[in-house]
Amino acid sequence: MPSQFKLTFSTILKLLLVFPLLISVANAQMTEAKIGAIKSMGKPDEYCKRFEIELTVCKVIYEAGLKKITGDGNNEEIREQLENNLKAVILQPNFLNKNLLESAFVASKIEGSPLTLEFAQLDRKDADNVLGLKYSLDYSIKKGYIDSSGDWDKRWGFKLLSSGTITQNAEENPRNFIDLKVTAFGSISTDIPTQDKEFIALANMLIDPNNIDVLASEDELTAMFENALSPLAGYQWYTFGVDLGIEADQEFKAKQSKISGFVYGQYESWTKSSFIGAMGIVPSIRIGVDSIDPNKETPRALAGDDSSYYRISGEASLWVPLGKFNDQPLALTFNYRTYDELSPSDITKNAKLDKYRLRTYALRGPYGLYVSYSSGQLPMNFQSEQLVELGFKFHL
Amino acid sequence: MSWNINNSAHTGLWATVRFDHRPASRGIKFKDGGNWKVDFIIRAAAGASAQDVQQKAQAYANKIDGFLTGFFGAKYESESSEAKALAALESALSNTENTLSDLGDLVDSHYLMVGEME
Repeated sequence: MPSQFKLTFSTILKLLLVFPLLISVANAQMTEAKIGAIKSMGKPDEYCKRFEIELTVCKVIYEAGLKKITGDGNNEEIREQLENNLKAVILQPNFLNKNLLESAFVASKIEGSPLTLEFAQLDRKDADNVLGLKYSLDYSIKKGYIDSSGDWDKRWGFKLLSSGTITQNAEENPRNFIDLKVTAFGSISTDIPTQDKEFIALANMLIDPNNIDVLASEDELTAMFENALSPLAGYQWYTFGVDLGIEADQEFKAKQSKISGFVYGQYESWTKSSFIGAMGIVPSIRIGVDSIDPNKETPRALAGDDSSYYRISGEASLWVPLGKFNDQPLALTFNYRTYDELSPSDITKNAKLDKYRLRTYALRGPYGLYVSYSSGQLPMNFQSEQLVELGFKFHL
Repeated sequence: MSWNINNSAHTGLWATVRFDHRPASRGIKFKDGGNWKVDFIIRAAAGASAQDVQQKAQAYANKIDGFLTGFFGAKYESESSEAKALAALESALSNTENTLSDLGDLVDSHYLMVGEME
């Protein structure tokens, strides 16, 4: 069977179809003694090992079958309970990601493609969580490099980008936002200097299986790399470009077209003589000018102003290493985002839809966030990008 | 193939990331490095926009490519190229759910390490 997904669900289907038949036959010949024996067995783990399905799903089916055999409830009650329990187990992000998206069938279709899919449980304010499918598309249409001498790599490109979160009912979607755009960009970055054969041979020896985890080898490799990079001040990355696209809700009722020009820069100092180099601080900044043309269903238009407008957007991030925690690196991150409409109308100002700020602080390690604090607000059309909740949140 | 200490593309990738996150990464074993999440590796800040994460992913993909080719002498596999390798790295580094071990096979499929050359 080429598809694990097909196998898994066909096995579930067989179990669901065959189980009632077996039960009805067994039930007709069941004696009190046999029922007692079955109840005393009660080992769903061992029973379920024989089937190639998720243990949690098998257990639900097993429990329903056991109830039927032992007469614990009428048919309707058992059927309803089975249905509810199966929904509770199957409609979970972890189950769907593992058994659907990571199944051989689906994985073979999207592996290597620019599409990323992930089921997630979405938090809703004063309401039950809802299951959503997050997607992102990052397709490089055309890309090129500009040959040049010196310490810089230069490139240009066109990309098709889209991201969003979709739920069964759009009204229940707390991240009801789809972003679709074509971006044209140019970028320059520090060129890592190519080393001679002796350097390369020694570097490869220091990463072989016998040396990669040896501290002395690591220190020797670090010294070699630092020496090779010493002529450069640091690693720099700059991009400038134009985005053309639309932003919409998942039903495309509320939508607006957007044209943006932006510049982005990131700097990582490799010299210990500078403050940010000595501290290992890595700053980045992005500044953009957006031209927005909303339709009548967008929040700003519903407030009474559906005119086109210009907006300045900015974003700054800081990465501050704090040493080690539990033998793993620890870093403080800071992100500041700002959106300012240029020459807003009184309607927009009175509705407080003209300026937005969001600050986020977080402590994190290589396996995820420990704690985050976020304050402020994003425009409605950026809520989907908010990665952390407002206020303090512990992620332990 | 999973994260494998006998695979020079994997150890080269880990040596690059470990160097880039020094000194706090000093002494961390290869096996543990495979579990590092890519959003930590590219230094993405919590709360950052998709554009910010994407720029950091592009910058880091370029850095990994520079280290593998410039310091470890890697070439591109015959069916790959600099553009293809960078595009694949950028995409994988933008997906914050990925770990370094997810990048391992990708690097292996695009780069020919010194020990693999004729």
